[in-house]
Amino acid sequence: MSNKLSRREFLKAAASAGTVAITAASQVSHLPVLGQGDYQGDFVVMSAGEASQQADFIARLEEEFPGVKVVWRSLTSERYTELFAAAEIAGDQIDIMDLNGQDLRRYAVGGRLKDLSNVDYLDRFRPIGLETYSIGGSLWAIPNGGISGFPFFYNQKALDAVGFEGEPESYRELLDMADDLKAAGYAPFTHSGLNIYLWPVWQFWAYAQTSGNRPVEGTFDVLTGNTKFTDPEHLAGLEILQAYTDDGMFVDGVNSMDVPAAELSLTSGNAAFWYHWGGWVGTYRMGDFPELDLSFVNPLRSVDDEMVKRQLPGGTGWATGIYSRIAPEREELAWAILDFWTTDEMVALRNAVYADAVSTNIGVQPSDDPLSIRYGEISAPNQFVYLDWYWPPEITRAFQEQQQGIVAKTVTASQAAENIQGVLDELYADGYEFEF
Amino acid sequence: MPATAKPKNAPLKEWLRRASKLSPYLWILPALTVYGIFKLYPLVSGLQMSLLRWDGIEEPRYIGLRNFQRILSDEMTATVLMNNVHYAVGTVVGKIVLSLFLAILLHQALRGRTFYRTSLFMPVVMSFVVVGVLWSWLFNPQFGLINSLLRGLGLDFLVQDWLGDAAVALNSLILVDIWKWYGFHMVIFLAGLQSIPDELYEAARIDGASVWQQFLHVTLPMLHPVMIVNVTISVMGAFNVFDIPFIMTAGGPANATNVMALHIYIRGFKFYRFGFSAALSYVLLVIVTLVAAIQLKLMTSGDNTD
Repeated sequence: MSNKLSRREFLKAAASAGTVAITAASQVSHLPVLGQGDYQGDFVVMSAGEASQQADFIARLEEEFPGVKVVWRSLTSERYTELFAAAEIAGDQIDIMDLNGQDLRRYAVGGRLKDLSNVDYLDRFRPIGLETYSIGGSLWAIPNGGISGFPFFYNQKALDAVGFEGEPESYRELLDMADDLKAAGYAPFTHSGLNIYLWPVWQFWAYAQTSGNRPVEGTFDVLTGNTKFTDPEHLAGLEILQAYTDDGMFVDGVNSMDVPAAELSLTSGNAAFWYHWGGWVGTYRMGDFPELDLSFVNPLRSVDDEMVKRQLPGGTGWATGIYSRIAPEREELAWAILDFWTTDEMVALRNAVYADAVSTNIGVQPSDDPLSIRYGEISAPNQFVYLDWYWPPEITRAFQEQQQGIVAKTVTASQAAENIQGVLDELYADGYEFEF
Repeated sequence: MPATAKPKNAPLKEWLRRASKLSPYLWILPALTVYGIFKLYPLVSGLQMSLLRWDGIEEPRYIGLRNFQRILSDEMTATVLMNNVHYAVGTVVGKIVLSLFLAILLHQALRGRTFYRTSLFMPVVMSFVVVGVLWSWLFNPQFGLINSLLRGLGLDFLVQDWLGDAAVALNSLILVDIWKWYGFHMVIFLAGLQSIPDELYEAARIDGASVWQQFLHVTLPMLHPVMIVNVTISVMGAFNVFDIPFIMTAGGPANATNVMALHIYIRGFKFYRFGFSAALSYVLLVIVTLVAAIQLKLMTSGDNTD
């Protein structure tokens, strides 16, 4: 019997095999739109996230793309810039950039990311994430992970102790109960003031109110030179912080409190309110805090206009994009990996790691915790992007220093505003231009 | 064999003779290579970078001495330098006095002397992060041991916002620095004390010198070389300090604890001004060199090197 196939038989067999393959592929809903090409080997992710926390995520990627080894370089958020620059200068392999949202602008404007505007799976994501990672009309990174921000946490037991009923809404209410809170052993407000990086969030929410709910637009205005930080709406934001200080709202020595100390003052029943990241709900659920009955509200209304919405600043997950100088032999694979990376299945894995309350993906409900659900209902719809994602770092630092100064009473709000504007003026003189 | 003929192995001997002259250089070559790569090359390339404007993303641009001009016109330069001077005075005086006192104490024939020496040296081997976190908690105004102790002793007027008050914060960091390093200087003083011959004290006692006079006229002069080493190390350390302010206050509140090395870090790695940051590093290098030279000159001016 001959083992040779005739040309007709070969074509029939090939056609059958092709049909089977196409049919099989169509059954797998999450198959990447693009194939991985011929590339097999190391695929490098430069991430601000810890590799140890992504073990399941990485394993699933490697399972989906056989022959590809994901090399996860954890640059950390603090050192991303220096380590990325070092890697680039050394000519290291870089394929995917997995950034903290705050760094996206730098790399998008600097031409290090590919334009993702035309990917065909954008309907997976909540619009706020896509808006956040669009600069100059193009999308530079896919949002993936959790949508979270800074609400006002409070201890319901403290409010019960002073007979406050209902949900606090305004600064006036806090002011009215402040003396009773102090008499009951609670400082009205604790904050991690020693951590200089946690002061600008105060200006974000305050400015959202004093600008009439135009925090992002107002920020664009000031960064393009159309307004100044000394203008009334910006100054009023700093004056809110000064009012909290002058009215004795903060715990004694607030500028000496790091995050664990501020956390302890809330959990041990020494403070009624705490301004902190919403993800702390996960810590609360895992801990044992008999003195604490945790709840939260959006930042208290601190302006007279009752029509102003109480907005809060927040982020929209990891900003993941493709390195613009990726080697051609890995580019097709990178597009395929980014597609799979941001599927509901994969984003749910990342949400689980960080105990996120709200996912960047519409199809993912990461937590059934009542506080998480509450965040999704009352906070997420009122969230706007951290303004220091737009600010140049010099302005962020200027706010940190000046806000600490207001709380330490070494500068007034108006002096602080002038100093901050002075830094911006220097930047303009140095050729700074804001791109949006 | 003719008398003038060279021995057969003459070239080999000549080669060996030449090689033996080279051998010292070959022995130090590995160390020189490491030094060159990790010290000299960064030093030279840092100088080159100080003449550039570079943010780590765009192409570097040559701007001559503009970075140095900016340093002179930047108000922050004076602020951080004054903080460094304050830090240097506080830490050098504190460390030298405390470590000398402890060294003299532990030079005596005490019971459990080795235990005390080891215990007092412990902070030196602790990591800066551990020290920073530990002292942040001790200084905590709400739950910290220091304020609790002061309140417990009825010394409420001494209770402070140790890291949050701009007038106090730098002194708090000085205290931490002294605690971290006094053990190191103490060991150097101890070595110096052990090298002083007993005969000198014996002669002083015979001459009727009191303990204080012995300290003043025997111990201190004999410790002079060791004192120079200790003061030089602590002065240079004070001008290069980074870890403690970085971990404990990040330069706050309102720049009250911002020092030159932290300023360099912030300008480089937070503001992405790598050229400016490199220029600042060179300014710091010059300042430290000058301060160390002046201090050495002052301390050795009366020495008879013969």
